[in-house]
Amino acid sequence: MRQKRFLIIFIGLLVHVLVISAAVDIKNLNIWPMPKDVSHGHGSLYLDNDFELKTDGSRYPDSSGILKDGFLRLIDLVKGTHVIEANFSHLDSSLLLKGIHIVVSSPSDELQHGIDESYKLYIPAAQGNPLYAHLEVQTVYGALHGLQTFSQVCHFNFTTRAIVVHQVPWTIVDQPRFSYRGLLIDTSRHYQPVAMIKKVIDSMSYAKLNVLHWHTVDSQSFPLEIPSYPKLWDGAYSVSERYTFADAADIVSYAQRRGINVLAEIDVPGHSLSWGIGYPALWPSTDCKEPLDVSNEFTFKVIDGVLSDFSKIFQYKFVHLGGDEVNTSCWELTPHVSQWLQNKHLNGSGAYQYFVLRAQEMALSHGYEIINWEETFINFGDKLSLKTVVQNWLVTGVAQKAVAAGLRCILSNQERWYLDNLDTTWQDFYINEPLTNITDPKQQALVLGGEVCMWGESIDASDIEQTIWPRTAAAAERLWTPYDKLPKDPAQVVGRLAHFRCLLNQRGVAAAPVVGFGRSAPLRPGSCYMQ
Amino acid sequence: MNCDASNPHCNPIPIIIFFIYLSLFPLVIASRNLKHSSNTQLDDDPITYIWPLPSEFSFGNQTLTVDPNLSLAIGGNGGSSSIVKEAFERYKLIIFKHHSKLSKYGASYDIEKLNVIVHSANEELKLGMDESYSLLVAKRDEHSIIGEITIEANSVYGALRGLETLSQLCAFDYGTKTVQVYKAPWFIQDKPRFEYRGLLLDTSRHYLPIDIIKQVIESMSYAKLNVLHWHIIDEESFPLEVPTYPNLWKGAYTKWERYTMEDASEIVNFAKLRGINVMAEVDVPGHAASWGVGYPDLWPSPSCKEPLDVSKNFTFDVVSGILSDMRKIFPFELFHLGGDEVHTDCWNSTPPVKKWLQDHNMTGTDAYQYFVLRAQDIAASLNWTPCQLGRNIQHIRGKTQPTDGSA
Repeated sequence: MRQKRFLIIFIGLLVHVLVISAAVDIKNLNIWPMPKDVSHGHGSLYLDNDFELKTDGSRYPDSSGILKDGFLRLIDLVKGTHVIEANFSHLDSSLLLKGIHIVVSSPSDELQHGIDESYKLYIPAAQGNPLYAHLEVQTVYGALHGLQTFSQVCHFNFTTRAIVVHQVPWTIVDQPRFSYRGLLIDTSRHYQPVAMIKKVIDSMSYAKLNVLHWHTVDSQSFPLEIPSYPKLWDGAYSVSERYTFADAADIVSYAQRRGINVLAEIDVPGHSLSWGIGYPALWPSTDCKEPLDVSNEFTFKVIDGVLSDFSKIFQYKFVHLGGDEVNTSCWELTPHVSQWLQNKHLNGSGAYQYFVLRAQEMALSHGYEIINWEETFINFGDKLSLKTVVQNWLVTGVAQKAVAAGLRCILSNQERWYLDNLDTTWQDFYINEPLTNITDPKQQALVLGGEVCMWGESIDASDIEQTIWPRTAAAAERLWTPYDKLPKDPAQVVGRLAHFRCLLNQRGVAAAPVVGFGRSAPLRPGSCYMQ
Repeated sequence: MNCDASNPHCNPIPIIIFFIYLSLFPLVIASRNLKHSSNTQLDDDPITYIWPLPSEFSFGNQTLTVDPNLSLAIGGNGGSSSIVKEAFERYKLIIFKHHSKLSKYGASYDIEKLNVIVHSANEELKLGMDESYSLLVAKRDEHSIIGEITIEANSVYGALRGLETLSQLCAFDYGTKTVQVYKAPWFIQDKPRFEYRGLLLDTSRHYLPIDIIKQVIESMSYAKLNVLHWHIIDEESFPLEVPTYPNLWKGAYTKWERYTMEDASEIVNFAKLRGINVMAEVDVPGHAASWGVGYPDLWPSPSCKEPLDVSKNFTFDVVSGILSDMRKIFPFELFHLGGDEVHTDCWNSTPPVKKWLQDHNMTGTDAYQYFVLRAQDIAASLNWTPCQLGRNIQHIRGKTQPTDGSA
C-alpha cells in the first residue's frame, strides 16, 4: 500500500516535471520581441512550395493590397536566405503546411494611434487534413505583426533544403504593451536618401516598432519641400539632398503599408536657423539667426503654411512641434524684437511660451494633437494645451511629473535611449523602464510609450543601420513585451538578441555585433551568433 | 630669405610674385567651392560626374529631359539578350527613383528612346572579354526624328558598362521634377585599361549572408569592377557544401552559416547578370584547419592541424573532389589555389609525415612545392588556369606551367 502511494507520488512528480519542461523555455525562444503568450510543441512541418494565403471569412477587403503585399513580403523573407531545392514529391505530405488562413474582423485599413495591433497565431501539428496556419486579428496591422512572428519561426533546413517550422503546434496570443513604440531619425544634420529611409522602415517592422518620428529640419539644413513656401528648401545642404513633397508622401505610404505611423516634426522656435536661408525675414537679424523672429507675423504665417502642407500628407494624429533648447538672447539683443517684447510686456521666457502656445493652436486648428519636448512642460506646463504629449528626453523623472499633471508622455531619456551615444550598451537600452516610479494605474495609462533617438550629427547613410541595430531591438522588446515577462537581468536574453541580430543580417540589415558599444566592428573571426 | 636692409642680395621679385599667387589662390579655391557651396544659392551649373572616368568623352552644354517611360529598342546579334533586358529594368529603377506622379512637366520630353546595339551574341563571361562601348546622348535635330540615347557595344557586357555610365549621366532636377541629362550632347567611347578589376570577399572569417554578397556584387557593378574573388574557406570555418565530401561543411561556424551548392550557383548567376566573373578560391595547403572538422585524417595530427597532410593520397582525393564539385558551378577560367603562409612545422614534427618526407627525400619546402604543383595539376585537368599568391612563386619558379595565372 505504501509502495503504491509512493509510486503515485513519484509519477505525479514526474508528470509535473515533464509539464514544466514542456512549457516554453523563454531563454531559448527565438522570437523578438517576446510575445505576450506563447506555447509550442515538438513537431516539425514543411512549408509547401506554393504556400498560399487564404482569407475566407475575413471582413477586410484589402482593396489597397496591404495584406497581400505583407504576405508576399513574408514569403520573400522566409525563402530569401537560401535556395530551396527540396524535392516536394518525396516529402511526407502529411507534414506539409499548405498556407496561412487570415481572418480580419475590421474592414478598415486606417492606421492611427491606438488601433488594435493584437493577433492570435495558431500553427497546427501534423494531422490528417490539409494543414493551414491560422491568424485571427482585429485589424490588418495586427495581421502584419502576426506574419512577422510567423516569419521568425520558419527556418531553412540544410538536410531537406526546404523551409521548416519547428516546435509545432504553436499557439501565440500577442499584443503590444505600449501603443507608441518609436524610432526618431534626423534628416537635417545629415541627409538620408529616400531609399535608406525605406530600409530603416523595413527593419522597424521586423521588431514591431510602429512610429517613425521624422525630425525633418533643424538649424543645419532644411531638406523638405514645403509647397506653400517654396524657398524654404533653399536651406538644404545641396540641390540633390532634398525631399520633394511627393517623396514625403511616398515615405508615409511605404510606412503605412508596414503598419508604421510617421510623426512629422518641425522644431520651433529654436533649432531653426536653416529656415532663414530662403526667407531671411524669419531671422531676428542677419547676425543673430535663432530662434525664429517672434515679433514678425510672417513667422507664424510660415509655420501655419508648413502645418497646412503637413496635414495633406502626414495623417498621424500627432504632429511634433519641438520647442527644445530655446536660447532667447537673439530676441533680447535685436532692437526690433526687444521693442516688441517691451510692447507686449514679455521677457524672453514669456515670449518663448507665447511662441509655443501659438504654434500649438495652429496645429490644433489643422486637426493635430501635439507633442513637445520637455522644456515646454518644465517652463510653462500648466499653460500647455491639454492635448499635449510631453517627450521626456533631458532630465530623469519628468515623465512622472507630466503624468501627475494629467498630461500624456513618451519617454526617450538620453542616458539610455539615445542611439548616437555609442557607449550606451544594449543592456542599458533593455532595462530602461517607462513606468519607473509611476505606480498609479491612471497615470500609467498616460504613458503612451517611448522611442529611441537616432540623432544625425555623427551618422549618415553609410552607418545609420549599424548604429540603430541591434540596440533598438532591446528597446523594442521593452516597449512590446509585458512587464512580467521581461527578465530583470538582461543577460538572460543575450542569446535571443544575438539570434535576432543575425536574422537582421540575413535580411540585409547591417546590424552591428551585440558585444561591444554602438556600431562596433566584430573583434575576431567567429560565428555570427557569438559576436 | 628676408628682404630687408640687412640683406643686400635679396631679390624682391620672386617674393612679390609669390604674394600675388597667394592672393589669387583663395580666389581659385573660392571659385571651386562656389560649385559645392550649398545654402547660398541653387546650383545653376550642376556638374556631371562619372566614376570611373571613361577613356574618351566629349560633351556640350545642353540640358535634356528624359521620359520616365523611356522605351528600349534593341539591335545587333546580341541585342535580344535577356541580360540586356534585365539590366534595362534595373537601371530604370535606379535612374527614375524619385516619384514623378506630381510632375509639373508637360507631355514632351527631349529623350524618349534608348537604343542598345550589341554586335555579338556570345554571352560567355571570361577574362579579356570585350567590355568596350560607345554612348551617344543627343536630342532631336535635323538629323534625327526623335531624341535618343544609343549604346553600342561588341558584347552584352560592354552594353552593361554603357548602361552604368548612362545612369550616372542622369540626375533628378528638383525644379521641374524630371530626370535630366546635363551637358549634352554626350559622346563617350570607353573601355577598361585592365581586364582584371577585382574585389576579394572573405566568407570564412565571418559568414556573409547571401543577400549581403548580392548587395556587394550590385555595388561592384556601379564602379565597373568585373571579378569577385570569393575566398570561401579558410582555417576558421568551412561554410560551403561539397557534395562529394559532405562532412566538410561540418567545419562551418554553425549549421545556419552555410552556403549550399545552389546558393553558390545563384550568386554566380546574379554576378553574371552584372558582367561580373566569380573566381572561387580554395586556399591550400595552409589556411585549411577547418577541413579536418569533418575529416580529421586531413590534419597531420589532432594537435597539429595545418597545413593539410601532404603524405596522404586522401588529401589529394579531397582536393580533387572539392575542385570537381566546384567546377560545375564556377565557370570562370581562373581558379585560385591560395598557397600562402604555409608553415611546414606540422609536417616536420608529426612522425608519419616526417617519415614520408624522408622517404621522398624532401624538405618541408620541397613538400610545399610538391603540394602546390599537384593541386595545380588537378585544377588544370578540370580546364582551369590556377592562380597563386605570389610569395610562393619564388620557390617554384620554373616548375609552374607556362599558362598559369600567377597572382
